[in-house]
Amino acid sequence: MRKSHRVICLAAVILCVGVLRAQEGAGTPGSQPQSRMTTSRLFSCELPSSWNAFEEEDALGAVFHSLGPDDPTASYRTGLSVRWVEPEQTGYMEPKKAVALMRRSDRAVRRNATPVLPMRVAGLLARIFEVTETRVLPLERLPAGEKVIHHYVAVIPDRAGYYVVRLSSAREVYLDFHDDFRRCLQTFQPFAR
Amino acid sequence: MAAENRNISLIPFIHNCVVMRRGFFICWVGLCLGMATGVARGQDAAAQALYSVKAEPLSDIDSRLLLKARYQVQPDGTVLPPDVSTPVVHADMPYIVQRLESSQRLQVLVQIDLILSKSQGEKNLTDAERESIRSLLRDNWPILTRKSRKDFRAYFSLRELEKMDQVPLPQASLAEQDLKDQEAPPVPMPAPPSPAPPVLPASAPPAPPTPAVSAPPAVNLPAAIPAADMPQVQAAVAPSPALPVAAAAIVSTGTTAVMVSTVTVVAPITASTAVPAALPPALPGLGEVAAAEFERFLTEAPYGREGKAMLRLIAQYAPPFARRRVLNDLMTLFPRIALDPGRAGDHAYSRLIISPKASASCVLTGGAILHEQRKFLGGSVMLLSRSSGTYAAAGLPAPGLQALQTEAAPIQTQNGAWGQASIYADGSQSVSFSVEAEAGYLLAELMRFDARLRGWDASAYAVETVARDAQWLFYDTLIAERQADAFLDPQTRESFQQWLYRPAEYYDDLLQSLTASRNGTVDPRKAGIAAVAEFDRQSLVDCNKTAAAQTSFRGLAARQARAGMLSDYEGSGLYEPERLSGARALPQAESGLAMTPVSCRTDLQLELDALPKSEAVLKEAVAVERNWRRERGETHAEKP
Repeated sequence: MRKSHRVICLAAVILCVGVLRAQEGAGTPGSQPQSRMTTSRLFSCELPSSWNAFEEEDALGAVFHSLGPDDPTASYRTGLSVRWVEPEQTGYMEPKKAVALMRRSDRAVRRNATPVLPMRVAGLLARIFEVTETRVLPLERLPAGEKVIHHYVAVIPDRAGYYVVRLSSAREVYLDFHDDFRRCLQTFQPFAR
Repeated sequence: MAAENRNISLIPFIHNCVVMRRGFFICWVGLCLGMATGVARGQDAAAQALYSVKAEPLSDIDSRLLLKARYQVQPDGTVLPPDVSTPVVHADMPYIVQRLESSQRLQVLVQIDLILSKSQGEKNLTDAERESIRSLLRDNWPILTRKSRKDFRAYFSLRELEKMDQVPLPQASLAEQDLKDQEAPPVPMPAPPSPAPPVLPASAPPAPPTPAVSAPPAVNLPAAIPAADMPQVQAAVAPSPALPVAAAAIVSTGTTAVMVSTVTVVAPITASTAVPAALPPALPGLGEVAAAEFERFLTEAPYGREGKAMLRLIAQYAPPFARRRVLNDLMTLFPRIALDPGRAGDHAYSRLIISPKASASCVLTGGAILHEQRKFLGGSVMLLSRSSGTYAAAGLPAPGLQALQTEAAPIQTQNGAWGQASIYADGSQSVSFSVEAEAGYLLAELMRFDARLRGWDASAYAVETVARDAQWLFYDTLIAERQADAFLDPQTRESFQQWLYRPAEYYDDLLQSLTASRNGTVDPRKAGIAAVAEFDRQSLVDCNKTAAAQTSFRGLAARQARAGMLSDYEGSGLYEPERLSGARALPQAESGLAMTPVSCRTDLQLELDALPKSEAVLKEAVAVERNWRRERGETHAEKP
């Protein structure tokens, strides 16, 4: 076989493999991430397409919520929230202090936090940690038992304010959402800049 | 007439038998059938006969009750219901009397309750109060049940009792299925009540047979009493409108038209017996209610002592935006407040029940069962329902915990973290929530009732946010006053403290808990107001598809909820694995989880139209909370 033919064959094989892999990825539409943009245009990040997202204004300011699947006991739904915190808002505190207080342990709910890890998110220096706490769930329904809730938290300072990204789920399933959280951070794009 | 007809039809038949000498057997069978038909016709005729006080006199008290209820006795002895020209038929009279007696019994009990509420306690009654109770009881002794008589024996001397007990007890209740509903037909909310008469099904059973009545003492009623001279009985405890009067209805059954008299008694209505918070065409106002005015209302309101204590706390400590709504609703509509774990179902603290008859009840559980699982390192707590219905819904019997058995006695009672707790030999505990904690949950339920009433319930998440804001602000004021939060049970305290010190996490957790299938209060696809609007607009495009998707979604949520509940039971160790497998194998329909499709276009459009109201109330509550946090000067995530 000529050398040029070999190159063509190799290129064809690479192309086929590429096409097949692309088809494989498209074969699971439920889990295919897609970019979502909040109505306030404060940020954008990729989230699983099957999650229900909306934005609202609560007593602390604008917040973006995205709701995922139930946990195995159907007591707590996995969800991701993004808040933009700025000095003018009710209850504002500096990001460093906010991180310290969010990580503070609480014996009543057996709250514990992992050490803070730095991570570069959209060119900003984010602080990432995990928190676990125990809650009686389902909320105000019976039978209810103690369940551990896991939070992935990222605090992303940006100019005078900062974003708080939190993905909460039952501890039984929190590893299933690790990639979703990472993907959101990797694709996170603040629009407030 | 019936007897004559029967004789006329029998003559040729007997003649045929005798003259033609055809088989005696056939003759006798025919004769027997003829007689039987005649007897049945005679009975029907008797059932349709009009009641006459001359033929069957009523007892003193029954006559008095009939007059009170504006029944009129005609000169011929027949009895005319109020505002109806058809006299009462014989078969209906026992039911009418029973209803009147039942209503009177309740009125007496409410009046006694009022006297006791105003007093310094049953043991410290003044002479006047004691005499009022004695007088009430003496006048109504003949209609009091055996249990009531026993409960009130202490008010009389033995000699008095001996004399009073000569009056026989009231007769046992008639079969409930035979009693006709005297309330107005169901009214869909929030439409105004419809005065349409009840429509009876074509297969409506004929009038029930007259039950055996013990011979009452004879009494002569006045021949006719003009309606104007009737004693007007006002509601004893609260102003309430008279129930509508239903007219006689004609039900066609095939070729025969049967007159069915639907008797509706305009009985003296007490708020406790006949004020089911029916939604009025005009909504209650939203003006401020003065403390003195509400206190005056409470004095005569149809609520028990505990209910009144909770309402007093609400009036005193609820945030203004909630207080205004709740007090006006209460003073206008008297929603029922009941302590009934059975009706609360799987709700841990409280439940708002709005029945198809447009009546509202706030049901409080009063407590729960605590089951502690001890493990090698520590243990975990499980809260269980006191209602056997909750277990039945999951296809399981109630677990064999002593705290769930009525005959078991606690070995110890203590005031622990969960409040007043009765501890049983097997370690299970029955805990009771404090009045203050329950008042907070009652306030939240009354806010949900207001949402339904005033139509700002298009967004379930908005309703929950507002109701819970009111509850937490109420607790905060109460705690500031009492300088302690010991009245909160651990679960409520956790939620309250989270709202107080970590509000961002609180709102995330609230949303994720309310949208979980086990709670099911909020549909995850339409959680926020913008999400509801978007969902409804998209759904309106293809209603059939929406209805199918909705049914499928609800079915899936119900299956997940049931599986989750069984999984929790499995972890509790309360049931054998075989029992749980059996429950899992039960079809969904048997567990009462079958879903129906939504009525699409109208519902969606109504929901869309109501969204601005939801948004306005939510904004009001958010502004209140924001100001409160600003005034408090605390930052979120800050805990002392």
